Amino acid sequence: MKKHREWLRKELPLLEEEGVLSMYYAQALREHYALEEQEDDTGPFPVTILLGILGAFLVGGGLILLLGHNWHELTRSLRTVLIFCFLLLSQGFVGWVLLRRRRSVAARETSAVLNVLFVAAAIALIGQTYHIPGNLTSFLLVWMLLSLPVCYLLGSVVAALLYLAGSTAWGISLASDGGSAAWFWLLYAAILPFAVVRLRDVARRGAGACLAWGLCLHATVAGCFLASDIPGVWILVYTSLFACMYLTGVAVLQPKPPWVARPFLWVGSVGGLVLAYLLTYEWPWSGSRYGARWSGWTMSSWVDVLLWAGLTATVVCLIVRVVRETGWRDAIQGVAPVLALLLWAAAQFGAAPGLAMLGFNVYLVVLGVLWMALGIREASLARLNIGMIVLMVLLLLRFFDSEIPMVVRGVVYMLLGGIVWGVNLFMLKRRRKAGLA
Amino acid sequence: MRGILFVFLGVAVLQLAVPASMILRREQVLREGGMVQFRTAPVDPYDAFRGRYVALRYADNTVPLQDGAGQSLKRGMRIYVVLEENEEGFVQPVSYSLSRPEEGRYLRVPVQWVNKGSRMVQLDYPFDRYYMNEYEAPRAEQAVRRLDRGNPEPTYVTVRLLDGRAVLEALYLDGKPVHAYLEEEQGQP
Repeated sequence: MKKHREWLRKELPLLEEEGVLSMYYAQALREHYALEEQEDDTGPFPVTILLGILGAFLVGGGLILLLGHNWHELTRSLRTVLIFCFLLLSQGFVGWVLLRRRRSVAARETSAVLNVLFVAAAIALIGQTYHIPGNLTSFLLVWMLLSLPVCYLLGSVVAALLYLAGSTAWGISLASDGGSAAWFWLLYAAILPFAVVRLRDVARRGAGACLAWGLCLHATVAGCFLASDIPGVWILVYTSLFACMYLTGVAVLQPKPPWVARPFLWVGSVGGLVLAYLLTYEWPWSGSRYGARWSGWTMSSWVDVLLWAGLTATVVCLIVRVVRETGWRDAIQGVAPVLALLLWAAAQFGAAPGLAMLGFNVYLVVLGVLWMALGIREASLARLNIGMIVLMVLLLLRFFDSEIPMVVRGVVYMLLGGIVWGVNLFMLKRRRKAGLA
Repeated sequence: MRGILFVFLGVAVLQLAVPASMILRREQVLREGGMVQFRTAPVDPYDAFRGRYVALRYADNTVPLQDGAGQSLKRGMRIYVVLEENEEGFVQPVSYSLSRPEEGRYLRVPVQWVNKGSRMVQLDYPFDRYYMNEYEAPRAEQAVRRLDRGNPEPTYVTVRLLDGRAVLEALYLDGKPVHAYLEEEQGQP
């Protein structure tokens, strides 16, 4: 029986990928044959999980608000007793879940959220009692560091999302106070091992997809934490970051989940394109030369360099993997970091911003044409239209920021519109002939 | 399973130890620290987690920039500020050093900024909030504004100092603790 179960466990993803079984029935088979050890209460409608989490948020948030009232009748000793009572209560709940309800996602998520919020309540009460100074910065850091182990202990995705949100808020708060938020990346890295394990579920579980979206969006926001001691370093870091996300979306998450569960691909490709469009303007490059704000190497600038190096090394590894597994077409956007590095280096050696602007214009044209060519070759309307959109947006931007007469712009636009229609019609006819549409 | 329980116990102990350490460090200052008075200028803001508080700014929050202080001061750098009591009983910063003074009243405080023109160092005192009950804090603010208009008795806080660490103890309005002042005010017709 064990042998058969093992065979079925391996077979189900293949059947799902080939479309023989829907995700729903594959999951039902997994549950029927108890192929997965955990999750008593997962299914297509995880109401118990959602209600449990909502309840924990309401109880925890209510406690924070009640304490925020500041009951000055409470003495310092009574407040201390309360602080430890709240902590022990939530820890008791966590302990009970670990011992008795470990297989219940609802219980794990609920106890994790409650513990994270009770820790916040305890720290807030200490701050209130002793009039601890400052803004949210120090409060958030202590809270997040104490909450991090809970994510791992209970495997809680919601606690991990709270941790990510708190860490990002901490970084923003620190950066707005003029401090270096380079340490944010350490906090971010601390959740990655947990995320990697959970992301294996991304195809089937909403929770894994939520975590993936959280990781992508927080990493994108985190660009404002770069120290920028090195002029233009954000160009290098962001091009590598988006390429890394895009390639992860292409390479790691196989078999392909539905689009909503592919944040790496979406954030990576859309972010990478938006960034490439920005880099066709002069302002990112005119401020990126050495000497403008360069005041020597600091710890923060080293963190930026390490971050860039780590991301770029990951991009290289992912390109190799993608080219081996799915061919060069999925690795096209991975070229952006290399191009950015070459143009950034040229700018440091005195090249005019025009060179870098031209470089990214050419990159976008090549990208658009390649997508279109792939679309025509593989008879894929989606690829063809993506290529056209890439080109059209570029042309739109160029016509808005150039001094070409309006009549010329109008005629060129109409011509381009005609070409797009023509190519689409040609493709449709070809697909009909081939019996695809 | 046993491994997970050990990890759980570790996390639980950590979650209890950090708040305990935060409490103990401040209780020690309140119990053993010497008391000083800082003259203030309060207003009433709000913190989403900790409730309403009276934000405190201090009249005497600068110290003259010293020549040859060892290294240039930067924002956020922590220095030891030596405090001396004036004839009104309030403490004022008179000098600073980068190392811990051997005697006297001193406070470890971050530099807010350095004004090289006027050669003054602005200090960021680590007691800029006095948390109050959500109903009393707005009344305290109104009282302070009223008292600020020509009242000879200043608004001030008492702070306990120990080894350069400080814990805010009480806020005084018109020479009385803020709660007593508000109760007295409520009792008046």
